[in-house]
Amino acid sequence: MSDLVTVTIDGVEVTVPQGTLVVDAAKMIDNDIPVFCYHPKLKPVGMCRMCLVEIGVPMRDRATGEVLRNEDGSVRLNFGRGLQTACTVVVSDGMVVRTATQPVKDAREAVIEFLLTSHPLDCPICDKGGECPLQNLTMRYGRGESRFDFSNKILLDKHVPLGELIYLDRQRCIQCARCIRFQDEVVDDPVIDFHNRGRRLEIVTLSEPGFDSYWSGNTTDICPVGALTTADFRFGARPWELTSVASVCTHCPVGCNTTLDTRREAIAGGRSVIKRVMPRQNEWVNEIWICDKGRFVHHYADAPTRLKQPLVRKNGQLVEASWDEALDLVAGKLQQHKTAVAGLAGDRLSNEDLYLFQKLFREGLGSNNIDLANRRLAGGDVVAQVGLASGSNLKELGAGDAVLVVATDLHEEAPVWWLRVKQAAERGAVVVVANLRPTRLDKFATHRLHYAPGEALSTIRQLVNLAKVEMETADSDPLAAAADALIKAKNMVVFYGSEGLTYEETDALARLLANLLLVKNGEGHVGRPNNGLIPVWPHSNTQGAWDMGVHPAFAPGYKPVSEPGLRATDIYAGVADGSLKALFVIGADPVGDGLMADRGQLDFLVVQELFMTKTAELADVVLPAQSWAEREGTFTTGERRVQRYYMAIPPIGDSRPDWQILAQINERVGLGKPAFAASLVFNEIAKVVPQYKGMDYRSLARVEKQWPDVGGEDLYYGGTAHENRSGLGQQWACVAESATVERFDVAEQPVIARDGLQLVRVAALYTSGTLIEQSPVLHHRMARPTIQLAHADATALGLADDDRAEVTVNSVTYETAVRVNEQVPAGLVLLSGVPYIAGLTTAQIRKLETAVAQPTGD
Amino acid sequence: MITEILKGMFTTFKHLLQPPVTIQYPEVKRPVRYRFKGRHELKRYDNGLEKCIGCALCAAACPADAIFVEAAENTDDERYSPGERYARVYEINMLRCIFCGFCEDACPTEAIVLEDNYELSFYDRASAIYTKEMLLVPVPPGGQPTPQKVEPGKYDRAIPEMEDPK
Amino acid sequence: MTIGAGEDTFKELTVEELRAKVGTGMPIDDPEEHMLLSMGPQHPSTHGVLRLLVELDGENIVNLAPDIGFLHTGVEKNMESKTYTKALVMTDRLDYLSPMSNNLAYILAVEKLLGVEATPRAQAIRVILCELARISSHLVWLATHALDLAAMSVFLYCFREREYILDIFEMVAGQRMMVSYFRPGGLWRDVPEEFEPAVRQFLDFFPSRIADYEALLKDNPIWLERTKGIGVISGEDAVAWGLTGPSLRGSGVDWDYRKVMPYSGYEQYEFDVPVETDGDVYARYRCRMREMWESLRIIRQALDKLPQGPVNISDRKIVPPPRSELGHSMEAVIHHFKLWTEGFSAPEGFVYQSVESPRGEFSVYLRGDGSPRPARVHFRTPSYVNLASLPLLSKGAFIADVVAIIGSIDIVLGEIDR
Repeated sequence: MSDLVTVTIDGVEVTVPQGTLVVDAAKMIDNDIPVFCYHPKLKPVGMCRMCLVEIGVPMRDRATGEVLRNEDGSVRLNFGRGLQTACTVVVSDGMVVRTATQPVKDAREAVIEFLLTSHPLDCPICDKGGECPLQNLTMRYGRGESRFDFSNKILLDKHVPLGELIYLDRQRCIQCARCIRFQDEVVDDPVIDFHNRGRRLEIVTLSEPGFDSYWSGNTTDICPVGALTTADFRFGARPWELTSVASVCTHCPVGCNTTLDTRREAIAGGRSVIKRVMPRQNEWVNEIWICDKGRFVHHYADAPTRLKQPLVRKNGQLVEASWDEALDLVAGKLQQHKTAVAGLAGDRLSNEDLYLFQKLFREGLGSNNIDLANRRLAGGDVVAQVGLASGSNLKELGAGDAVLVVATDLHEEAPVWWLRVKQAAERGAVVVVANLRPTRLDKFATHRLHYAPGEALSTIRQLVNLAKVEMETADSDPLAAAADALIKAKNMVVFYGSEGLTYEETDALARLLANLLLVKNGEGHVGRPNNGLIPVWPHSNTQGAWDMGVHPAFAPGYKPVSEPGLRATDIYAGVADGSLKALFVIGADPVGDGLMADRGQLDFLVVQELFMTKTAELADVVLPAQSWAEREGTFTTGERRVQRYYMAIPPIGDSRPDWQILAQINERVGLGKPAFAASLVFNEIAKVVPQYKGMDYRSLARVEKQWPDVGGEDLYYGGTAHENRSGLGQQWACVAESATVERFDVAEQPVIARDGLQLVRVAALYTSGTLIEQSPVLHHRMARPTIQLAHADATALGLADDDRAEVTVNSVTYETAVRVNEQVPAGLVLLSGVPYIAGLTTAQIRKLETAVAQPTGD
Repeated sequence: MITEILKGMFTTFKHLLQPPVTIQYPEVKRPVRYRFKGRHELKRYDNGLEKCIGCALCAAACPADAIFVEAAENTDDERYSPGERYARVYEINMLRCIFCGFCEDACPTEAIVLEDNYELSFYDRASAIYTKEMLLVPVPPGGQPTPQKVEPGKYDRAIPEMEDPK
Repeated sequence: MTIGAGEDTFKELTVEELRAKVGTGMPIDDPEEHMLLSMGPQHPSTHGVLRLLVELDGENIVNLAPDIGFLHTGVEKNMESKTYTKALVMTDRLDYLSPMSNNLAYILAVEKLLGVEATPRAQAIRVILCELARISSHLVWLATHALDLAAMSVFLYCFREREYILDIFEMVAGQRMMVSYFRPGGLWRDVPEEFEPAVRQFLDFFPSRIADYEALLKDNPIWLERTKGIGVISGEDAVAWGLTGPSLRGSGVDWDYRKVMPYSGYEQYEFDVPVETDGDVYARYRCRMREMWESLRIIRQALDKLPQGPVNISDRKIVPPPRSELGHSMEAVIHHFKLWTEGFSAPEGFVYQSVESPRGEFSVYLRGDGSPRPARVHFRTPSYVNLASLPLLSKGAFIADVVAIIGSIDIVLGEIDR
């Protein structure tokens, strides 16, 4: 007796799990019941009445419970007095649903007719035209002619900005409340709501700035009409004019699957431009959501200031040169300086680029002096052992499972992971948040551990120790309670970041957390799906950088090298003191990020970049690279899922893909003919990196049918397309999945005496940077330098809310806004909107006097 | 035999005196019919505003993919057409166009109309791409050139009331 | 020409070996006996870009093979990527001398697939225009046929009359030739007021013109000499080779789709189908001339009986709304938008619709798959099939007769090659 139920829909029998809604059961057999307010990711409300169908249940004898039958033996059904909404009715055994009868057709026609009475005649000027469920359903089920008196049509506000990112057209709104329910139920940002009643019902925004949510773009996807549209795409193109290409977001380690819609633009001189970024359905990664950063920060791919030609410094000036000249010079100079060479890579480069980069140094120059330009988080080698096991899907976490989040603000660093953890909490999972300060996840946490500055590692160490101890009764000590909840969970997932921690401390943290996962109370929390360690890397392919061996001590596949090379900090020191003669910087801007002051004593600096960054301005050779949209490649997410992205726009100018530039340099240093396609480089990776064995571009492009079935051409949720036909990616297996992993030794960390106000740099999603600056639509929301502190600390410094202050940290001075926030613990100052600062520091903070107000004239 | 020859010559002579049916083009041009589908024109309203709202239905309806439309936002300070949207870029490739008139049928505002000019020729392919400036009719008397500065709220309606075509 | 992969080119085989290999069906250049002449593809008398490979024994034709494909533009494949309405414009360009009948065949097929029937007024107007197209096509046929046989004045006279018909088309559809006037569900627009007087005027003066042509040609000894007994095909052979239209009726077989499988209301009109028994070029010429008389009869009847009423069916899911509704009807705006961008969806299934075009049976095979675009369109075009009988008709004739024969089977390369 399973929990499966058999229902008959239009004569077709279908067996579905208990609790399925009729509308979903019908969709499973390709019977599209039209809906407006229903969405499979939202709770049903039955507001629009479009899904009205005839639902009949078997009649039963009251006394015996037996099913009543007609004379001919068929089950007697009770269809009730009227139609019922398929989206709110849960299936029951023996239910019979009829969706093609005349009353149902009349009902659908009537609902559409009513909706169209208030709808403005906007189709030719509305962005949704062509992908609009209202249009599709009107064609299918609505009347052909209108009976409505046009002069009665209500006139509501059009083109209302809900904030500067989203425009609302109140007259088009059919009041299905999908947007409000999404903001409220899914992302816990109830910043829009209904206002007024009856015909005057309208959507308003309740926040300042308007629609203040990192998820606002998603409402434009699920809005069934053109009421909510993005300012970024306003009047961009018609859906049928767009070419859609699958891609992956380049910003955070979640690796949301996206679709880039491109078109050639006359106003841009005929070049192909990315018109918009849409989510692509991947239920294992991001479902059908993307955050606004991924949605709006794409303009850098086709920005006019992109580098178009190789540049070589002659007579002190950077002048255009041919590729051959530039590449010959680079190869020659690198070989000339052999081991006094170092390489710094950014972590947004693809696996192919990073692999060839390390190959250049290790095999071409015999050097291990390569590192990420800005390595914030350690523990890649730990993750390779006990990372989130393959086959995991965070959507499956629920009651009986646990999630631990340490030293990271997921909402700012990896919004979709915040969403997944929040939803796990709502399904009953235990969520333990350990941080210096409260973050947005605290609201959903079952246990909140706020440690004092500098106490992060000791807190986690205590947690691990407590986890090893059997607990009989609930302990009042929050740490013990948390440890107990974590260890008793069937599945445990741990996220960790670097907020307030130095690099070495994150290494220790990763090992401690791995030990926590390895505590064997029953079975350990490693090696099984939905168990393991997830690092919250800073960017989209930091995981790939680890896997490909862009690390002074690890070769590809985490093989330790015999003689580790220089780390990034040593490289910067080497630049300054002259021990390094040549530096190859690719996809990073150390000068702009404040890590390197200038080119020091370097003889040769080569920069491979998209834009003329501060580092590039000092270079001897600047090589123009292609952005991710102009080429194909792979990224590896923090869950160690390798995902393919595809070429969407033709190359800008004479730029070449990073992997090709490196392959051509490799050829010149004697490493053989360059591969002519990224897929061939990946095949080489699959041979060299054991974790990637068996993967190739074809296996990464495999898709399977996903549920819910959204965004196809159907009439169910048909409209904006989320269809994924280009690949779901593959996770590589961590060691724990096939072998026993031993406890990690954790290095002792020095105790630092902390005096006075401690400053920690916290993440903000819209922190300024080379790429985000190219998206003017986000300029108002850019995270400007801001400090947050509690009232007592503020008063002690003479600061009040809305003041401006001058903050000097590590010899860098920022002019910041001041926010007094009681949630910030005493003794702590949060600094956001500035480049990354590791660990905890002290700072000089003083109030900036604003200009004295001019007296008004008489 | 002579009679036959004379009969033949008389036939020729008779035809000599008949009015010719040839029209001496290009000095004399036969007027075209009302529905004739010739060169396109983008029409304006009497006040000078462009009728085209940049909806790209013409581009979608064109069987030859001859039309390219890029839309942009109207503001009351810089108004090109009534409503929120106008065509910032509007190009028709006259070499692809088959003069079927589907664009005229699809246009919801009677903006793109196939008029009477059939004398089209080009020296190279690039000059066959007619831009919006080439297609727009001149400002009618009493109207203002676009962009116009108008009072807010006056020109909000994109689709006007129209009559059935004759 | 090579025969088979990796085999010897034909130069190395003797003629006997070659004939043994390929049979006698293929024209062969035998340096000793026969000459292989390539007539076309640029040739004023092949009525299009048609290449004929003719094996000549002096002036006698031993064998003949048409080589087609020079005008192939992939119409059938192209239509698969366009909506049903947009694909209509491609049908104009198949048999470009009578685009109305191509349109009609395709539109009737679409309507059959959709399960709708046009209104009586639309059907009547379709009949009138198709018959006018038939006359126009026959005028071109007569003009070029006579021109090939050196009767140049006939060419100019026919084109003078044809101008009138093209003017009527321009009045109705805005285009002289590629009209695309018929739409699924009816017509593009109703006919204007000046249509009926113009057609009646045409009906008044045209009979005397046909009489003129007949006076010039019917008893003309040169004409008779060049067309009688040339290109004879028997009735059985004509049926076996799949000939249709005047080419078939010239051989004594009474088969006309307007009578056999009436469409668009043809059953209402009284007309005869001209049938000749000789089966030669002259018989086919007589057939077509008499057909012009019959067409005038049909047009007069249709015009007299022209019903009032709408020209489009009232199904708004197929026919876009009238422009006057767009200003105030939301449903109209939505339907207008969707029909002109995505187009209506036809159900799954296939249909086969035949019409009697001036050249014979013009049929459309249309397969729908539930989407707004046809899954497959195939045109069974009369010229394609009729051309296949050219070798049979011309074996044993003089090279000069090929010109007459091609003219008599009245081919249009547009519909052969598509």
